[in-house]
Amino acid sequence: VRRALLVLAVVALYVLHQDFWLWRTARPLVFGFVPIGLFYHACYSVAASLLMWLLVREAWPVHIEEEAERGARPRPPTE
Amino acid sequence: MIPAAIVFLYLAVVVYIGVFAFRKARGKEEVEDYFLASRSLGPFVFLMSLFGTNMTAFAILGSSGHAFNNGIVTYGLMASSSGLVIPLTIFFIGTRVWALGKRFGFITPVQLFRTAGSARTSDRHLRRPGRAAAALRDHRRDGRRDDAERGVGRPRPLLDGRRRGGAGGDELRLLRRDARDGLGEHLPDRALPALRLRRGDRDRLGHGRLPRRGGGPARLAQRLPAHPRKSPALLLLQLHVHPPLGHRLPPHHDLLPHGAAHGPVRQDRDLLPGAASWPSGCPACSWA
Repeated sequence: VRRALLVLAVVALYVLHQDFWLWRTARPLVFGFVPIGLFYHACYSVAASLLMWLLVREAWPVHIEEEAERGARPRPPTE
Repeated sequence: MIPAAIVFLYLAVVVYIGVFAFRKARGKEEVEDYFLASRSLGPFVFLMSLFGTNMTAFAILGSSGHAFNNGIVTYGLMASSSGLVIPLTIFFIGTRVWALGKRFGFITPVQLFRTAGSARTSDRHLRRPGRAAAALRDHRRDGRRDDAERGVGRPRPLLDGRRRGGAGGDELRLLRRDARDGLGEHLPDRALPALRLRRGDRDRLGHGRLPRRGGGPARLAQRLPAHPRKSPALLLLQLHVHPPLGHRLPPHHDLLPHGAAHGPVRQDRDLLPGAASWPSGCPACSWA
């Protein structure tokens, strides 16, 4: 279920980037100076960061990391 | 005067960093240390490097011009889309590439693709990096005698010698040993030995009439029988252009039939015209 939710979140964020609703919309101005379309994508960037944080926290491919560490080439001795 | 001083000061700092790094890295002459700092860079340097890589002329100049002409959409086109696509790429692909690079000592992505190609991993293996890792690991392990000496893994025959293709056994089909790596396809017997022998191995085996690697695709294609699955062009490309893993393999693995009969067979002699006898001893089994 958790993995399905994460996949759903990724797909949702991808869909949310297809911004045809505020793409060229400048007004109203958020905080009096930020165009609404720009503010939308600023929020989108924050959401993308949160999603990546969630992915790393919940779905980081630990098995790949462990496998690589286990089978890594032995390093030559250093001085 | 002041701008020139700043420029020279900057150059002096760069030279100092170079000299400092040179002194610190003295004695480490491995290419891995030079290009990858011995794989010691942490996430901060990685992210700064990633940021610097993306700060191209297009990002600095092109996006400014685009924003001047098109307005706020530039941020959505470049920044917020990158904010999703790049991290996802690193998450899904970068971790796999990192694991393969760490495991097999890749320095450049080209090495990864070359090795994957030489291991005959098909695109489905690239889509499933775990299987590709397993395949590459087995190939590397089987092919490196020094690994065996270190006890990492015993060399095992990559191919078995089951006779296939008719009661007469006119053609010895070589079957890949490990079905888990997904490479259990039948390979044409004539294709493998010619490309997996190193020059020294050829001399040791006492024959010299195998096609050279640079002998030309047409000449090699004449020796390749029809492949049951792949087009000759694709097979030729894989065999002729991407043989690095094969060159690490002991030649016996591909030539000697491991199974019912350990020893020279007529078909194998045909594979190696001019071969008077087989070398004694087999690194993959107890046959001597």
